[in-house]
Amino acid sequence: MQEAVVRTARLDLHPSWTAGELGRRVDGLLLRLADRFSIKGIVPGHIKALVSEGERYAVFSCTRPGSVSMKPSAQWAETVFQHPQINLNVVLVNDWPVAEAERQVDEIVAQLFPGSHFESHCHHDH
Amino acid sequence: MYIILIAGFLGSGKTTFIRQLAQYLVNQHGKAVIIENEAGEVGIDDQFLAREGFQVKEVMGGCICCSLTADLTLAVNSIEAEFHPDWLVIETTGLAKPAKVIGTLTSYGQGIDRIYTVIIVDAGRWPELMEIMPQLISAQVSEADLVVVNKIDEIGPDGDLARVLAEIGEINGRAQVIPLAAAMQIEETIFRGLCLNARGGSEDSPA
Repeated sequence: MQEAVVRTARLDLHPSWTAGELGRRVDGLLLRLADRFSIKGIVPGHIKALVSEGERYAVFSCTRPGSVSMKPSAQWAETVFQHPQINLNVVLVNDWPVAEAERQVDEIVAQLFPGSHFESHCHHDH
Repeated sequence: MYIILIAGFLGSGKTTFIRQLAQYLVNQHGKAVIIENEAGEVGIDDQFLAREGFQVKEVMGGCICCSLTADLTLAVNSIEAEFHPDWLVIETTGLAKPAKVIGTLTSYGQGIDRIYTVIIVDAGRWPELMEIMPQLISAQVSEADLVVVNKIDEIGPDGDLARVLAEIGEINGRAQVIPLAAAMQIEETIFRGLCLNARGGSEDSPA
């Protein structure tokens, strides 16, 4: 009934990325995932990411193609990121086969963050 | 200890609502604890709320309405023993059926005065979700003391808030229903009313 595809990574950025660059990349990741998994014009679930480095963090959330919301911490916009931690949760209903959902998530993650190693974590059915 | 149980479909805005509710509770009472239940081994909402400065206990890797009932009981009872909070906010996964959570809490929870159930509904996705998951959405709404109809700013040009409210009323005619957009600042009067009802009508005590 529910599949949670969970991926985490600590990026190693050379050169560093501004908050704007990092935000655009994560935004793009969620939009691509939403395009891939949407049905009837909505995400049948929730695609979200927490991006953090030190005290700075932001949560990105997507429930329909073409729209990502972001809640940033203070000073996020002025931060330059070198080793940001990204936690990505793609939680879907509607009987997506787990292996296929994972394969598609990994494919899009690799396109948006080439060369970065994202760790896979356990998922649980409801 | 008063429990506010927050449920609702994935991405409906539960964490966004809780962020502001918890701030209100901290401001009014000085102490509130949140239990976060998320699918998957790595949480996002719990880390976000903890970084926002709230006291968060995470229950991960399953759902507290079915596979993690024992973990929920342990978490609630240890929070009561350790912190004695006036308020405990529990956020379920998006697929949880609140009736099962209430059953667990009623049977095994310690120090609980009342449980007040808030269901967050995504107004923007209501028609599609009622098509895709009608049984789950109806089961969630039917258990509500309060239905927060969230994301009314995301209702499209063809959308119809009146229709959403009417359909919610058909599922649960006894619940209070409040339309809002939690991404904006929620009015304090809404939280004051919520807490008043959660306490069974008695006034909030000052911090």
